Amino acid sequence: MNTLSYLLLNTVYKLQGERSVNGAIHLLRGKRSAQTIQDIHLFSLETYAASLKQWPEEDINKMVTALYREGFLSQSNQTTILTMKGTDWLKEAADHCELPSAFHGFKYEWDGKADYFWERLVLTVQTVSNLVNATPSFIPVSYDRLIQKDVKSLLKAHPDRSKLGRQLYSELKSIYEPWDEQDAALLVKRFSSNKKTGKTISQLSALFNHDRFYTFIYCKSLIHKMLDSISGTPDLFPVLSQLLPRIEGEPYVTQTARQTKDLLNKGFSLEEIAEKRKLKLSTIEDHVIEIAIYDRIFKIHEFLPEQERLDIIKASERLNTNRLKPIKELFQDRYTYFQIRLALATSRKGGNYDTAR
Amino acid sequence: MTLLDDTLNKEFGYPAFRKGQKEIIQSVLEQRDVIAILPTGGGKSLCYHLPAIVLGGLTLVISPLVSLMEDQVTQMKAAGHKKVAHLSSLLSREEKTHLLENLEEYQIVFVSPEMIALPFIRERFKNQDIKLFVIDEAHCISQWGHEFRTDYLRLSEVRRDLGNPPCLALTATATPEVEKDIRLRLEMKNEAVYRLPVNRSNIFIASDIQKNTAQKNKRFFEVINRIEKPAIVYTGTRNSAVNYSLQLQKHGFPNTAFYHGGIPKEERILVQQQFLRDELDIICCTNAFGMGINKSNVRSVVHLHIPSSVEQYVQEIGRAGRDEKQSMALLLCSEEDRFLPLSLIESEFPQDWWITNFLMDDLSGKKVEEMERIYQPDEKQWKMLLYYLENQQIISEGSFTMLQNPEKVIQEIKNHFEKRKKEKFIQLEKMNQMIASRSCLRKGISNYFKEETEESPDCCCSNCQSFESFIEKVKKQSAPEKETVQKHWKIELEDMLLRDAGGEKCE
Repeated sequence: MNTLSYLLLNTVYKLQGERSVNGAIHLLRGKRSAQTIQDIHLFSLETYAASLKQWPEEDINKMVTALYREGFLSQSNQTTILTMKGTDWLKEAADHCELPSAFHGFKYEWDGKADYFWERLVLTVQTVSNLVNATPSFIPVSYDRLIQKDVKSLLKAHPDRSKLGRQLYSELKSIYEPWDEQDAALLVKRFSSNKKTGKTISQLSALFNHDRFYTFIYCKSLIHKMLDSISGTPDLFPVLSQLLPRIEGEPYVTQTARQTKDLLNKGFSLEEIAEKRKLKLSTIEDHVIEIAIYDRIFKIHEFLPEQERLDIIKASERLNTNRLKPIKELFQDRYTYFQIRLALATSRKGGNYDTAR
Repeated sequence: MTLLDDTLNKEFGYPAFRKGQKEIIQSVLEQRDVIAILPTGGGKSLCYHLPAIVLGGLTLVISPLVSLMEDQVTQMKAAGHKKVAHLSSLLSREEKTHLLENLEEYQIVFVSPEMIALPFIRERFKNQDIKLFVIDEAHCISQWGHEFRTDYLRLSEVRRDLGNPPCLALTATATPEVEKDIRLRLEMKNEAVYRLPVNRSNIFIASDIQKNTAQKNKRFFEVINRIEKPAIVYTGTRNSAVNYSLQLQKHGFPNTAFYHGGIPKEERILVQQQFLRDELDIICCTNAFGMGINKSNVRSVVHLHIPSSVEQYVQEIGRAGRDEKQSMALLLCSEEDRFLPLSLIESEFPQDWWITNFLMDDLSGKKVEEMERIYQPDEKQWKMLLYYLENQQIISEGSFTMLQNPEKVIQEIKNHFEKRKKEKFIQLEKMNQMIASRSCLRKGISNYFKEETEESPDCCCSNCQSFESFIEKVKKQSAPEKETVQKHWKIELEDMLLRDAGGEKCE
């Protein structure tokens, strides 16, 4: 039992017995679907979202099987709940298994921002190190051509390599200096230079004395901490801030949902869009829900008048459920599943989405 | 100094050719078909890289592994050869299009047999001036080779389609049967065959079979202290690679890492580089590690499992001592290890009930992809089955035809796979015999490849002299001291990014 199990059990717990364990896994793995996006904020799971994006799927499946077998999880009516044993363990484990406080999955992992930044940073450090020390030919730590291209254009903007090295050094130093010595050392050991190769997570976990998963998540949280500093005061980090992704359009909305939104704005109906894009109507409906969650000014009343939206939300509160079927039955099929989902998507359960962001 | 030596020097910075290279390159330049059987570490890639530069036009290299192609291209580029590329699933669609539209700008393009089989890709290459058609790891072409790949079988068709350019087939290990198969399948004519002996006199070969796993492990942790590093330790499964690595880290070898096909790419690149740069003493790995790794000073290769064939084994131990210095290969296993390769072979083939179930389904007129979606077969098994069915014309133009007599077809398929399975068992059995033999192991390997045995070297094998006496003899070459002091992160960062920082001398 470790942080990985804790993460899954706590997610199942927070889903309040209204989703299956697969729903929890989708959320933790950052699956891009309207349902997941909706669940993340409906159940205030922003910090955990997409935290397991790169963790091997078979590892997770194995763990789930073990948690069922050992009686931490149980199945009830197509949803998954914690057993007494699971709940008790969760309470005890909260102290030492909770994710590091700097970790914010939805902010940095969901759309791959942390990876984007880190992959470029590591290659930049390696490249600058080799150039400064006059070893221009080396095997790059990243084979990805997009990353290589970005780093090349950064170098082009800084023809004086020694100066770039000094600047990068002072920016990194000023971020790490206030940190715990060990935290700074962890990240620095991951860099490759002209003299030595960076350490892998597995190797760091031996030095750090934690299991691989905790080391992995902990390193991620340190990257999130870096991103907090850099995006807070980008002017102080002229080089590092160039490694951040440039965001176009609304954040968190998938490309395909954005196309649907453009067509909606041009006045097409859902059916027409489905026809035009050769997609199923249900897919287009998923897009609408995704847009409704993230786009504060998006108008949904043409799909669901305001009063009816409030009625559905009230019913959900009275029945104390986010499951669609009981709500639909209560209204004797007056609303479609799509309308109910839309209403729930725009309601808030637990924490407030805006403050979480 | 000849023109070739000159090119070697200018383009690659090597002072001289290694054994066999020059003859092979000369035949290639004479536009002959060539089969070259060079032991691992013999510098195979130079045999097409240098001709590619001299011949001009395009050299097409068929390579079995995407990650291997990527490593090779990256290494070539790092060495200053920029006109090389690989066409693989790792490229984005835009990158593929760009490459295909600008093929004339490249000297060497690596491509997988699956990719070159696609008509629209082949079409692009047809319009190119292809000077040389290279088949890397050519043993994959033969059912007698240790890595039979059905897509390799279609390469003669590809070659014909590309206007029959001269062909160079490269492999590290090939018995005469495999060599014959390569010649036949690639429709070679008047080919030149170069075969360097697989026996490498600077590798001491040892075999040690213990009663059970506990004794094997006890022996391993005792032996690992005394053998020269850097060392590669091959294990039978991914899990055991990880476990041995963790154990070794705890037993006084902090500079140990593991490597297998399932680790993320970033880690794969880091571990490879650490190994290449002498930052690791031991790497515990599955057979996924090794191809494309050019490291000359590997002193020991240890096997903690039984490889599936003598070819596989010889290829893996060949990674030791490429610098010609004394090295060793130790196969340390237990009686229990004999079962793992058996079950691996079983799992390579579709099971009988599955074949029956599948072929009794109403297949006629159904598309191959449709059936794949419904049955979700294992990828390798599916390819094997498709290749067979296409040859029997049970599949034509991507659809199943009407089965006249399904029971008969099922029986034939079962027989066919049964036969293949038996062949694999035989290869394994030969491996088992070789390591359990009481006579000279080196001669055992030579006999397997039907080679003349050269004179035995001073350090021959554990049957000619004891393993202990070998260890005593080579003891003095001690490994370089590793840096064990932990530096403060600020100093590390200074060392990386500032010139002449910290007062420390560069290496």
